[in-house]
Order: sequence, then structure tokens, then C-alpha cells
Amino acid sequence: MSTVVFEELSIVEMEGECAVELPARHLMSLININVVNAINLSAALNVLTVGSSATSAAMQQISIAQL
Amino acid sequence: MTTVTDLSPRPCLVPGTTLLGEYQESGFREPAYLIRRPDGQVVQLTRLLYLVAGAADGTADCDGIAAAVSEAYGRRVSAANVAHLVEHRLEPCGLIAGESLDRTEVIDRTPLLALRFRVPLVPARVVDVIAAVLRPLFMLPVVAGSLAALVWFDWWLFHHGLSRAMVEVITHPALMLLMLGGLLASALFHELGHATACRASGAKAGAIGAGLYLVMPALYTDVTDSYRLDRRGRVRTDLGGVYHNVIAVLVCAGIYAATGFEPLLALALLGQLEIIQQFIPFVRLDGYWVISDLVGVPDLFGRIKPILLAVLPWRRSDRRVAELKRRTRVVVTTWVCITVPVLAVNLFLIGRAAPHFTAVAVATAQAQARVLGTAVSTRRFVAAALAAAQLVLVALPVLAGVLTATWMSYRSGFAATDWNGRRRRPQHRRRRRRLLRNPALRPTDPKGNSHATLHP
Repeated sequence: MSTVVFEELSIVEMEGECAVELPARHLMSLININVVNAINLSAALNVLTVGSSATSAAMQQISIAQL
Repeated sequence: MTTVTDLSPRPCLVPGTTLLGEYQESGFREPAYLIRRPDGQVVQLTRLLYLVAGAADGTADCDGIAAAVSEAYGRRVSAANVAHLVEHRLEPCGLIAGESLDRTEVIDRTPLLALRFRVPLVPARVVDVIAAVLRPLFMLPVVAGSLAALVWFDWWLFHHGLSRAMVEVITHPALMLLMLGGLLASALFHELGHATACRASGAKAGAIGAGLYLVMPALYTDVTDSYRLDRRGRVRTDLGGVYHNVIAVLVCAGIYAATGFEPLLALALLGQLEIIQQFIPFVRLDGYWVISDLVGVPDLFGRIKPILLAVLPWRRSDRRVAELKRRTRVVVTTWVCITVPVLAVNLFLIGRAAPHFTAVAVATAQAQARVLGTAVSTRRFVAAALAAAQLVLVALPVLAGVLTATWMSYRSGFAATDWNGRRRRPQHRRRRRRLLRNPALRPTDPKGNSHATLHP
């Protein structure tokens, strides 16, 4: 009858045992302010013109024949 | 002088540590096991380490642990083996109390491209209550009905058009605040979707918070506990956010149907753009986590460097590559080959545009500050609120960009730092020297050679 001798773990085997800290699972939602900024660009132009008025005048230098 | 005999002769897991069991349906050749520390950090271990940690209850010494582990492991593990694994593997990870728990020596392990600048806003217990209330949304008929309703709504929206909605938004500046508020509410609801799906799958959701990610503000949910779930549960947690976006879009559609308020259609469109954005797999958005969970590799970014180095013929294959199953390795390598150039190009473009963008942002901020001052002095509060919102919107990307660039520069200064945030620590070498001085705990190889002989 043969006897099986179990050896302890070698250094090489123990070096193969590893423990790794996993990255935290932070599931994110980005607040896409680029979209807001694009719309806001138009809106800001409108804000700046609230309550304002514009007039224009030009001298007529070309005579137009009216039929 | 401290010697290795100062190590706890009866190793004990840090109180509050939880054994989570096997990482299910993983992409590794050998099974991986998970333990959660009291601070919420999850640690992945090999089976032997998991068995040693499980036997370290504070009552058994190294001999006792070795006996228990040998029986479960199926081969002889000596007391010296146990002492070595405890000191060199479990203590540095903070799983077993010991001298290496000197946290002053622990390096910050925030992985690259992770959400670093963050602050929790809604505590976990409140999130848990809300998630319980929202749980019925994840019943199968509700999910199927919502997705069908979204398809129908998009078909209707395509024919209805958005021109009237956009004209109203542009011609009524106050609606800008509505759009901004809608986006914030949608993002918060998205996070509650992750938390609800996480809870519905059997894990515990953590806090919801806000932060700055790369160059954008972001909300986040801590669902680290979902590592314990099977693949289906993990992916459901990942997709819970975009599913809630679908719900938010349908709510907008429903209110529009009741009121005819056209700007809600623009908000619904933005909600769907957010869904598409979330599936970007190159940064840690939902698409990244979906791929990670489908292939069963929890740290894809940690594989980038070893996979790139593996193509060098003179480099020996790294453990982080060799431990992957063949099919998993193909998928992860493909992801790496696409992600690295995409990130590099985007980094270059961001860097090139940064000076111009900053100059425009400063000019815009100055203009908005003047508008804000004028609006406040003339008591036009809507205009003042808009200007204040614009100031914040301009400042946030600049602030986020500066913080991210500073952090990445800081990180790139450490050659020994890998992409998963780990650094070689001198204390390991010091502990090894102490171990070698103690013959009683010096492990031997099968031929009887001592540790010192193998590693002089």
C-alpha cells in the first residue's frame, strides 16, 4: 500500500494567491449641460433683448420707377 | 524592534467584514470569491485565501486554521502557509487586523477614470425606502409595457416634430430653468433606477450623491454590493438607470398629452439622448458596467495595461491576462483595442480645446455676472436665476477639467501605479524581511528550501 504525502504550499504557489480590491461601483448619470448650454445660448440672446427696442433709418439714394 | 511574532497568533477578520461567496458567472479560469469590508470595499480573492479568511474567527491559531483549511481545500496547508497568507495577502487588504492596518501607509486606490470628486447627498437608508416604493416598476409587465409605450411615443414624436417645442424654449427663456430642472430630476430618477434594480435583485444600494466626472457634473449611486449578484442581477442593476429614463420620458409624454405643453417634448428628447449617452462603454458609464458584467470581469480598466504589455514578445504573460477564460480574453482585448485609441483621441482633443474653452468660459462668466447684477438690481428674478444658472453651468466644466487634469498629472507621476490604483508599497518589503528573520514561520517549498533560499 502506498502512502500519499501531501506537501505544504510552496512559495511559488502562495505567490499565486492574490487578493484584489475591486473598484467601487458608482453608477453615474452625467448631467449633459452641453445640451442645455446650446439651448441657453439662444435663450441668453433673448434675455438680453427683453424690454429693448431697435430702430433703423436709411436715406433713399436710388430712385425706383413705379409703374 | 517589531518582529513577525507580534502578528496576531489568532487571526481574526475585522468586525463587520462579510463573506459574500463566489463571484458568480465570472470570466476567470478559476473561481473568484468576494469579501466586503466594513467600509463597503469589496475584495476579490482566490479560493484558498477565502477559506483562510473564513476560518480566521479569532479563536483558532494558525495551526487550527491550517487544519480546517486543509480539509476544505483538499491538500495540506501548513501553519506557516497560513501565517504567510494572512500577513502578505489578507492584512494588506484590511480584512484581518494586524500591523499592516496602519492606514497612514495605505495609498489612495481610486482607479483611473473613476468618480473621484464626489459627495453623498441621499443616505443609503433613504435610498432603500425610495427603492422599495419604486420596486413595482420592475415587474415584468410594467417593463414590457413601458418599452412598448416608448416605441409608440417615438413613432408619434417623429411625425409630430419638435419645431414648436424648440421655438417655445428659445422664445421663452424662463423655460430654460424648466429644462435644467428636468435634466436634474431625470438624472436623479436615473440613479433611483439603479438603486431600485439593485434592491430588487437582492443586493443593498448605497448612497446617492453628486460629483464631477472628467469634465461634467454627475450624479451617482453606490451599488458596490451588487458584486454579490449573479450576472442577471448585475446587468439588471446596470440597466435600471436607463429604464427609469424611459419612465421619465413617458411621464413627460403623459403630461404633454394632458396639457399640450410643447416644451415637454424637448425634455423627452433630452431624456432619450441621455439614454444613448449612458451606453458609451469607454468611461465608467452604464455601458462600461454592462460589458464588465456580461463578461464577468469586474475591473476592465485594470486589464488595459497588462493586455497592452502582453503583445510585447519579451514580456511574460501577466496574471491579470492569463487568469481570463479564452473567450473573455478575446472580448476584453477587443474592448481594450477600441477604448485606448478612443480615449487617447478624446484626451488630445480636450487638451487642444482647453485653452480656447477656458477663455470662452471666462468671458461668458463675466458677461453673465454683469447680467446677474443688472437683473438683481432691476428685480427681474427670472433673468437673475437664468444668469446664475448659466454661471454655474459655465464654471462646472472648467472646475471639473482642472481637477481631473490635476489628478491625472498627479497619478501619472507615480510609475509604480497601475491602472487599477494599486502601488507597490515599501512596507511589503519590510514585512518580508521581518518574516525571513523568523524561522518558525518561514514557509518552505516542496523540496525543503526555505523562503530565504528562494528569495534572498
